[in-house]
Amino acid sequence: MWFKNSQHLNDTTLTQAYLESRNGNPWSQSTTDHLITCEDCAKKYARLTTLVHAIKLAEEPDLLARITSERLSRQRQRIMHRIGIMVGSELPASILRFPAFFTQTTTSRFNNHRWLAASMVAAGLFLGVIGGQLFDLAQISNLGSIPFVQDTTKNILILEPDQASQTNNTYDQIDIMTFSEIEIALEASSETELYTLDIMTPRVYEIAINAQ
Amino acid sequence: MSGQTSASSFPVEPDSDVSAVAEIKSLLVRGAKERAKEQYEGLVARHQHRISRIALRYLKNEADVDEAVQDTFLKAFIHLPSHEKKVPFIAWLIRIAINSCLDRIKAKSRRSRWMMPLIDLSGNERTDIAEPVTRNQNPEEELLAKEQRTRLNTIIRRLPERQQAVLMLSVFESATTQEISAIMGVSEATVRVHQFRAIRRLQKWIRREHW
Repeated sequence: MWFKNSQHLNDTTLTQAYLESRNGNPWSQSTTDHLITCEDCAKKYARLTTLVHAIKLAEEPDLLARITSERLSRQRQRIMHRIGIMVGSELPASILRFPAFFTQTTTSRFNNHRWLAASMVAAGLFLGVIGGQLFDLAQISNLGSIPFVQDTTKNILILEPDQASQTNNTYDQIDIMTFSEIEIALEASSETELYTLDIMTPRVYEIAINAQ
Repeated sequence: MSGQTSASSFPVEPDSDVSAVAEIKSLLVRGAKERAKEQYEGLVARHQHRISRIALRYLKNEADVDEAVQDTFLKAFIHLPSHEKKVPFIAWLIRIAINSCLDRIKAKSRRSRWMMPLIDLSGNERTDIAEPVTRNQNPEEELLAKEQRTRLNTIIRRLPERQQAVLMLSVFESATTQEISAIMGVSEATVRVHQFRAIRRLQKWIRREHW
């Protein structure tokens, strides 16, 4: 069983033989006979046993001395403590414990509906945006209903005075009209159109007088 | 390590273990956890040394060993109701211990990929292997022996997990093939194959490094 060839035992056979002997099992008669008679195989077998002994030496000599009874009892206490926590007979080690009235502030009712606050905020934002959009649209539509009159001398549109007082956003519309007037003036080649703007511009000497 | 259950040929389990495990199981089933815990303490005391020894061979660092041993007994207590009678308690416990150690090693190696090695004040890289306290050898012999041990340990650690476990159990724990097969949940033939491959590999590596 152990032979691959009739000459020598191969490494596989030798290792198997070593393991068998370690496990307390007897070798086959042929293996025993061969190891007694063949010097080379006996040497190889000796090398193998030396290797395993060397492996044993790899263990630190004081390894087992490090497992003291004190250490084991401490370890056992910790194991039993952890089991105790799990079983419920012991409390987990806590560094800080809050007073009862603080711990009660976090209600489970709120925790169960944590999504509610977020969704309310989202809904509020949505409504705000939609409301803003509608307000803008309303302003644009109001603008279309403002009555204008044609100023034939200047060839521009101006707001009818009576109607202007009735509009809700009169000042806005006056602004719009003024700026349109300025824009028209800028586009025109005549400088006389810019007098209005010039009158509105404060002069240095005016400011100086006021300062005094 | 697989969770297969095999090896009905495990050497006779101590009666004390069998009866204690059965009692704890029944207590846990009945919900008498406190009494089960008290009973379990006896089992812990009985097997703690062996489990610590195995963990120490894997982990070297004492803090890690303590945690691995604690985890092992805690896991065993939690899963005791699912423990099968045909696997001896100690074999099952060693299997849990080895898995805990391997998990810890893997987690540590994952962490070390992202962390700088700790350098002590003398500028040497810190290792987890604690220095033995006493020695009877002279300093030169001690140094040589230490070097040889380190090299051998490095080589052994290069072996695949299963081969390492088999080698550790057979060489250091003097466990038989039957015991190892029960612990690892594989057949005895598989254990022999692992033993054989481990020794062959070590032989090859040692030859290559001209020892």
